[in-house]
Amino acid sequence: VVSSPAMNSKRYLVTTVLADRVGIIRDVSGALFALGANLTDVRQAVIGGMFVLNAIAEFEAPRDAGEIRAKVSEALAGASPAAGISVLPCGPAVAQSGARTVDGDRYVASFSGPDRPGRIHAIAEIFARHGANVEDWRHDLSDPARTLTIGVVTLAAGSDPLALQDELRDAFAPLGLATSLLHENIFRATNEVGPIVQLFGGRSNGVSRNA
Amino acid sequence: MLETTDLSATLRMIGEENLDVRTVTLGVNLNGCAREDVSRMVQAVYDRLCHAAERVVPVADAIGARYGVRIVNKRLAVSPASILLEGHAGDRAAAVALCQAMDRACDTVGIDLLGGFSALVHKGMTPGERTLVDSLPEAISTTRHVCSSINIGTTRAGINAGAVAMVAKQILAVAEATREERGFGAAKIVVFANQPEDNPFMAGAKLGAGEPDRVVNIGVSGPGVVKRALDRLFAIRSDRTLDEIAEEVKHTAYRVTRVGELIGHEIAGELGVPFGILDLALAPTPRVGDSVGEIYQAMGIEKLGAPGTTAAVMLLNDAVKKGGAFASSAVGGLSGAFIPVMEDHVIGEACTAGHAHARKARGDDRGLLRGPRHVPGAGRHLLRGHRRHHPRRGRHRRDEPEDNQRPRDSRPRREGGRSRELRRALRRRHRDEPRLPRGRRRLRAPRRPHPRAHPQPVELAHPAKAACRCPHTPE
Repeated sequence: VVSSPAMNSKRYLVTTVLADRVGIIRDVSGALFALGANLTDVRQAVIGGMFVLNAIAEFEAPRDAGEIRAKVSEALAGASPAAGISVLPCGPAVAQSGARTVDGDRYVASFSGPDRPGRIHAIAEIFARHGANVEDWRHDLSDPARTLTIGVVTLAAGSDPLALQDELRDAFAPLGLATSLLHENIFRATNEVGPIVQLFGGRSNGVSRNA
Repeated sequence: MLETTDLSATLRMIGEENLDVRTVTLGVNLNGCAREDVSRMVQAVYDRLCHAAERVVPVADAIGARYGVRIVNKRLAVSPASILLEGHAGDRAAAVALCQAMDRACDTVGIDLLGGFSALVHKGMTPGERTLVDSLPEAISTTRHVCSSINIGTTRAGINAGAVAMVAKQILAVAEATREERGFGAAKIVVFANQPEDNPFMAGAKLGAGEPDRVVNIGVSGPGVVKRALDRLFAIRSDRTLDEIAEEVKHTAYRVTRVGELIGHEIAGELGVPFGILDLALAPTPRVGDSVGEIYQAMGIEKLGAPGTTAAVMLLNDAVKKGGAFASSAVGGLSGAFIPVMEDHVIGEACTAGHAHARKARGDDRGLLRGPRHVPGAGRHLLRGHRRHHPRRGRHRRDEPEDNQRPRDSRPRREGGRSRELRRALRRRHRDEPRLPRGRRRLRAPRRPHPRAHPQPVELAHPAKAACRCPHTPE
């Protein structure tokens, strides 16, 4: 059980990590409901057979983090005694749904080629140097000869995507990795159904045909 | 958030399957440049083009890089130049100077090709249009970027046969004037029936009547994408139905079209001009992996020209148009599938091997918006716009089957299975009765094969040996 700062808050991020099985969300949500929590955001992923659950729990009155952790731990104790549980208070700023760390356009970076240790670190290093915030990360090892790494990053307004594109290519081409950095809209355009202008926030280019 | 499979599909389409935006074509209205003085008119045209198109190339390059999609050509389509020549009738030098000014403007702003040195003569010819047509040999042979198009017919008006004769002579003259370039000048001229107003592809691009002052039109291609999609479909399971094939083509056409739509809106927004239309044309190049013929092979037509080829062509064209129509707010131009012999290695090989020939290509063309092109020695009836005349209604047939009179007589046509009226006329003729009026005489004429209706496959140039530089299909 991971310890968390002992403080009172109305809003907590509850993270649970344990071997995947049926009924985990039932157990965790049941424990939080028993404490009077309202779950405002829930995300889950299964990585290497391990179930990772992140949930934002909001309470009407401030609650102690230790109490929450104990209740969740108790709910999981029967079936998953080795569960890792973290309960962290989160302030309203980061709790707002949709809030982004960096304002700017989203890009999808892809890296395809033979896998090797240190690859993700090297990619992340370049992203960080360009102020690119990684919002999503996929690493597909199903084909060892052609491992696919996809990162969804946000580039701050004013930063140069072409410079980042060039640096990624220069860094990874010698390692046999094919890289690309493409604006998110090209992926949304080809995979989502809806007017293209939605990708520009619902605005057309605003130019009248009746000049 | 998008799924990994969706991301991978788009990456594959862009990176491996030759998806590109074939052309970004900026339409520019030049009608305001008309001047009484030729030199002032020419300068006005040059200034207008340079000003209107100065940002086209850098903007297209930047947006192409942002989305990772190659924009192959940046082009201009201007309003028909014959309008500017109306005040200079008979002044062939003025037409040549105008064409050269357009060419200089293309050099200045880095544009690949300019279309619109055009005339619309389907119902008749004005003095300015005649001047333009007369100037073609010199104008086209002394410029590099300018393309010309002449509309000689429409469905409503029919074909202006006089204009056909005149333009045909001029095309020969242009070819002669560019003899050192193997007659390449003639490839920069296209003769249309029913020329679209918003076609972004060369050599037939122009800013037609009813278009805005400036407008961005986009042409996308991607036969490789469709072919690979069908390959994947058949790799999963080989016994696919025609419906499943059509669905896959539609879905792929949707994705390809959306790329063009996105790029078009972005470029139009950056340039501050309205977005016009998107033309989805499966246009092949002689490269392997970029062939429309390979799509038909992927559908199961082992040798092009074999039974089922026409059905495959119809299916592909129908599915492409349906998928494209759903993806774009304004599909226009000439959207469809090209079946050019000299630009597609599979079709070229089929012709060389004798599996397909020009008449077959014409038959395949019946369901297309675009016809067979660049067929050396192909003979008559190559244009889609050439309609067979309806003998009884006194006008041209439109998309009617050629045997539409068959129900009146169950006999095959070769055995006289024509209309009752015609059979009676033939009977009267045999009895030495008075002949039919002059207008009907030709109906009795026996069907003689045209001396060039059956081109010998050996005459066809193999695309690998003679890569076509013709601008009809942008590379």
